[in-house]
Amino acid sequence: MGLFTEKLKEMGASVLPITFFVILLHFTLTPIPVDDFWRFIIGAVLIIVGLGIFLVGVDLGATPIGELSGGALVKTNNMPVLLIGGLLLGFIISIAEPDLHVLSVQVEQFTANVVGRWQMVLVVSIGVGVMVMIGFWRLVKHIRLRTVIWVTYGIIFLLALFNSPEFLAFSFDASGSTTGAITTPFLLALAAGIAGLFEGEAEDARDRYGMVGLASAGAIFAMLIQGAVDSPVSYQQVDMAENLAPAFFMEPFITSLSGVLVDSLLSIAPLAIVFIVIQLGILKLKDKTVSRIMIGLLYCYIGLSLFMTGVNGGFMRVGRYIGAQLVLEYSPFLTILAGFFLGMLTVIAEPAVHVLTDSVQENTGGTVPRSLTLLSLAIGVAFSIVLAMIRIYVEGLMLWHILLPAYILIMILSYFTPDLFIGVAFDAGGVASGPMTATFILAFAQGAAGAHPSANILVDGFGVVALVAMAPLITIQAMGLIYKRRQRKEEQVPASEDLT
Amino acid sequence: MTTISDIGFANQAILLMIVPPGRAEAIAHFALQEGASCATVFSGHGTVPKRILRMLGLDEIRRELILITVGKLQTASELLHKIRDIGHFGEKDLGIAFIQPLLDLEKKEDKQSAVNLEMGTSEANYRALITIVDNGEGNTVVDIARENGAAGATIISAMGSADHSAHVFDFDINPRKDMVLLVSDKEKADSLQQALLQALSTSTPGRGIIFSLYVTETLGIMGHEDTEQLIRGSWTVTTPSPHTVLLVMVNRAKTKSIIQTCEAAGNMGATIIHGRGIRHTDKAGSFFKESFDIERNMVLMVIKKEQEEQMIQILRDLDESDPDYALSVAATYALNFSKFSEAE
Repeated sequence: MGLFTEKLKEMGASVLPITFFVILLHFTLTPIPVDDFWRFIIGAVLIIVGLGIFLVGVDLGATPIGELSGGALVKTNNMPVLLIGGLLLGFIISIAEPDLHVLSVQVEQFTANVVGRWQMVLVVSIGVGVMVMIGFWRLVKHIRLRTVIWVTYGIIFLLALFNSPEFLAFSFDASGSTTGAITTPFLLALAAGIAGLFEGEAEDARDRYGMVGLASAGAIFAMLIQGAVDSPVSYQQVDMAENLAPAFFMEPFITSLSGVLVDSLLSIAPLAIVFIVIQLGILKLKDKTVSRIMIGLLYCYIGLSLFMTGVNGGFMRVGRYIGAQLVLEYSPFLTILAGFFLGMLTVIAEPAVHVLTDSVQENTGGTVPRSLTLLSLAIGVAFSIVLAMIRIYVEGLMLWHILLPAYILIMILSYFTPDLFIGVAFDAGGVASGPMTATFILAFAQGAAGAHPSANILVDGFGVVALVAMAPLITIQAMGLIYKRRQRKEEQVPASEDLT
Repeated sequence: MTTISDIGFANQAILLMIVPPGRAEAIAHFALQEGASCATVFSGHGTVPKRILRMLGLDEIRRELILITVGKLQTASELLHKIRDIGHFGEKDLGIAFIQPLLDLEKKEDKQSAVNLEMGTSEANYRALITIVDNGEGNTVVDIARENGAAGATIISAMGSADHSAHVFDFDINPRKDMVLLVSDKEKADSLQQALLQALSTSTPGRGIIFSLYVTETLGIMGHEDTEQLIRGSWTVTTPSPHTVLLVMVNRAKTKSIIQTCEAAGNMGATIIHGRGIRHTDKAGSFFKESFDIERNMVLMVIKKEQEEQMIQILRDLDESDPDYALSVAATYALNFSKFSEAE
């Protein structure tokens, strides 16, 4: 009842579009094997229920913990405490992120153990910690986000010169992997807890956003430093895990469940630890509030586990299958078009997308409605999948051929975009590249790449997450420019005219 | 013209409505078409009084608050009937709506009589009780209100004007606040206020305030047998309150200067709520037009009766000096105004 039904309805509306689209593909272009089809439907149900529970949990648990710990750190009024706190927080949430571990295992294989699994996880986590620290510092010093972003991406561009194209792809993918389902709401809340304190009467919520974007950038630059210092010379081809037929119908769910239960626990544990530490040390909240937050974390755990089981067990195989079938049977145009819609509808089902779009609506007093942020985000991701598909068809098109001009455009746009939208755009980049993208979309792209003769499943597979993280930076900033024009038009009309 | 028109000082009533999310747009558009002068939407949340949901942490529901200013008290009453008739209040627990009569700021010499003429002679039966407390204490207020027989309440996030005494990293801090709004009959409102003052009294100044407003008509108060029944109260002022509450709608960018000017003139504090102004010319169905409401804030200030004229004049001067303010001001009696720090 109440909150949960509301969320469930909302989640139904978010997950059903992609479900119907896949069903449509099933009956028209790419008939899916019967077992896989029904697993997909079961997966969709698990995703809807899981997302609903997870998002209630975020509201009750993750968000309050983030806001309270951000606020508590600032209220110490002590710069060293604040900075060390930021470094530690960034480090522990990143090191516990399951997506990052998955990526680093792949990179370890791909670079023939030159970049070891734990080495990569540590490097990225330090990068994230440093950027969260810088994010805290800029908030209390009231330095504009765009300045920090220009400097950060300036360094990233320089470092990119000393890196091989392959390593560049890992680095940008790492940025998407660090900002997972639970990390993102936590970082958003952390920034909100600090920025909220300093928000004056006249200001919008501009400083509440950008922390997720900075954390992603931290992952990129840490990886690029790693690559520049100690670059792997050769890359070896690795066989992708075989897409074996499951032994029995429920097998994919059961196999993924055990992994998911551990992963979800790992990613939620840092929040629980942070909360217990600040509760005992500083906050001393009432029991009622504490139990509410703990219930929230429990919901996060249950919800995230159901969601991930649904995605891994039901969506991944179908994504790969559709990708391969489209490339094998149909023209590039149809494949790219299908990719467009798949991207657009999948991102709506990303957990953190709801947290971000709701938060923007709430903090702007409703002037930037949820539907609008969602639309810009979906259009951005749709185009990023189009680009990923084009990379599969066009031989020799490197990831940086797309990323370089795109990021130059992003930097130019950020000169004109209102601060609020710069923050939202950079956060959206991290938000869009969540678990749905990392599994379903990636599987789709890998399926397509595997089926196309000239494409390389790994080279073209890496980089998809990077594209998904990049595209919203353009579309959301574009929305910000339209918004600015509309609000300005408002100002030009003197109110007194209407009094006559 | 795409603007918050009307604006100004010539309103006689505000119509306040609490509705589920997504419903506010349609009602606000309807009201503006029907001649309301200004509609602003704020977001808040309510709670469902069920123990199981509460234990599970699922008792919160989102709500939107619509504040509509209307030129004439009679129009407000008609508008309320029309809104009920178009079906927005057909479902149970859908929301409450009520009318608050305002002081007539245009006819200064004859303030009360303008309102008196419109309505009968007996005292208004209903009150809107407004409590402003520190962020996080809104739920406590709702709990206490429930224990004392209130049917429900809505919590709206707000911020206090900058506290110049508390600096963190060399900056002023705007304390976060919760504003709790509930409507009940006169007797219950008074006893609730006593209960809240007792339970939440503190020695720290600036922790919170409580007051109530006259309500002439309500619709859909939870806990009544027939929630659709219009309860007509009639309105007169037997004893003018020594305090006035000013509800100032202002473009967000100009909020700070309003507060600073009023502070310079001796006002002690203000509460700010972020909202969005609904445009007059918007046609439902046009996505991009609807998508960008105007960034508006509500500034709530409780002032002494003696300050009223001076403050209104200050606001009027500001509004005339720069069209960007686009002020819409509503003033009404703040009944039984108290601060939590003053309670014994």
